[in-house]
Amino acid sequence: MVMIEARALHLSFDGDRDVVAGLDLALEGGRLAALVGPNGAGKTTLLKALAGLLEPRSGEIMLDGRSLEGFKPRERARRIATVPQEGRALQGTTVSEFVLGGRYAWRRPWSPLTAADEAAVLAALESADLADRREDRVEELSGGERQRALFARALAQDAEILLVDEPTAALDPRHQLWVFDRLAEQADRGRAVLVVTHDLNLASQYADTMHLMAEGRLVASGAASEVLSAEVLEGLYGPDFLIGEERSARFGEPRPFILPWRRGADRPPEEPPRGDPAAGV
Amino acid sequence: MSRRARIARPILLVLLLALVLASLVVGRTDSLSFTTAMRGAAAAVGLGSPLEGSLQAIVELRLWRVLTAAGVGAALALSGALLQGVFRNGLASPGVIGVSSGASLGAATAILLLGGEASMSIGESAGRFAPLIVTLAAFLGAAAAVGIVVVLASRRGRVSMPALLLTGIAVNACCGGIQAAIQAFSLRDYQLIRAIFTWTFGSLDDKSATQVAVVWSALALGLLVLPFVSTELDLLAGGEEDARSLGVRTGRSRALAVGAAALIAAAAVAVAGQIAFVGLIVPHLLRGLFGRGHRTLLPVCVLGGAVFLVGAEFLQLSVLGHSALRPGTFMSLIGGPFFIVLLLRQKKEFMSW
Repeated sequence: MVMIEARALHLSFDGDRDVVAGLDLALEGGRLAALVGPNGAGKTTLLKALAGLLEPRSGEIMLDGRSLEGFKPRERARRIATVPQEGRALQGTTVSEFVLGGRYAWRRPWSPLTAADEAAVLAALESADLADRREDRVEELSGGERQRALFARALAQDAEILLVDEPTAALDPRHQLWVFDRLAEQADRGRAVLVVTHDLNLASQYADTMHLMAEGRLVASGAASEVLSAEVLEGLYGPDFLIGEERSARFGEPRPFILPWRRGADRPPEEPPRGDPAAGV
Repeated sequence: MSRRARIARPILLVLLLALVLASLVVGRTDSLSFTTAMRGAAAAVGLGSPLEGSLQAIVELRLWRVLTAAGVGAALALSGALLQGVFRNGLASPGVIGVSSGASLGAATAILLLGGEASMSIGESAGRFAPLIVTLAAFLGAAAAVGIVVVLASRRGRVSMPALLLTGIAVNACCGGIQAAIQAFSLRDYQLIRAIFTWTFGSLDDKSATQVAVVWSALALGLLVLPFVSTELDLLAGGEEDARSLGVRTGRSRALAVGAAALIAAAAVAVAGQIAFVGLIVPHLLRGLFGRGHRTLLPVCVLGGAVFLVGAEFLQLSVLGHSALRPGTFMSLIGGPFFIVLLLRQKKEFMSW
């Protein structure tokens, strides 16, 4: 079932150049979708727009048959949760206070915690493997733990759409797999999950659908084996990679993997068009 | 809320009550007996018969004075804590970002326009509406000043802290200049110049029940917004976009917080003139004790600010008696060095401009 849908979406900063130009994308419940593509393709920008944090220049994002712009912030936050690349919090905030931030949209002003709030926070902390650190301060957490705290906060938000930006950038391989296991778990519970990632291999072995983006457009969408073809990849990244296949534990069948591999002379990568500097990769 | 904060509130409340009572007993003139002071205070609010002779007047002056001090201290501290939360910087305060000087200029302008009559009202007893008009003018001045500062210091909806401090300095200088000009124009009118002078250095003397009511009602209005900004300010610490993704109406929360901060600081300045640094010191001290979470910090600042100003005045009056300094002067004397220490501790941040 389609939960959120972008139609003919144009996005830009300051209204000059389109970072995303005429894009259609639908996210379905129960599926883990991965958004991949070279630097500057507009992935993070698209994610922000889907989260309702950036107004489209033209086109529409539809949630429940309604334009996302018409949702009140709290109403929207109960439906869509975002895991940003990095987070900050007031100095001295404990992990559980931080995760409680995810309950904001469900709580009334100045009201005490409800049983549902407490249960959601606890469940989120456990899912993120942070239950034993809940009384620690966020500034004491390691990079990986912070990433998990952000994830836990989004889980506490109890939203059916989960948008995740580059969750594995700072993590070692074991934690990278751990993060994607959790994302797959959320999809299997019926949520619509979209993860922006540079890691084609994680995307390939976990994602139900891959969306390949370049220069503000979707180049290919579909199963990993269709999207990660040698032709498509060569067009995007140049000739310097190896491609193979290995069994994915999630799907029980082979999925492609890709290795950056220098084949010829060193050459500078083509510079991507300059997007929002704050948007990162 | 931490255990510390739960214990602190009753302690601060008792401390405030004790200081208020002590301030009725000890004042600029001779000390009174506790029972006399209590009877006079009761009579002032309409319970029991007044004391004989000038005693009743003395107790009433002390009562309005200490209630004004409590309200003004609470208002300035809360205002500072709100502004520091909104601008995510411990150096923001009503004085630094132009609220105080704007309010002061507004008040001075109103006094000038209302003429001698209004200036009388600042002193003893006079027109009932004059204090309200002066307060309103002070609020408009404060709102204008903070509006100018925020507009000048923001780019694409973000307020940069160095820009905020610099525009604050500029607006303070403008307000100060205009106010000096007003003072120069009104030099011939003794009442007028005395009234304006009072604003510049702050005064808690010769207050009336009306003025107490003005500052406490503004404070009550300010307290009304706390449920709608406290969690929001906590979440805004993670950044504008992050807070929005959690469902915070960031624009509304900021506007409410800044509006409330301007209103209560303006009322405080309108009633007691410029008393610097309370809005800077009190939140800073309490943040160290109770952490940065606004749900705890903001209410504690209300109590702490009242205790701080009432306590400082009590100390001054009981030690210096007749030669006690004006509250604004006294606060600047202790606040200036404190501010320097604060700047030194934040030096790194400032060096990275």
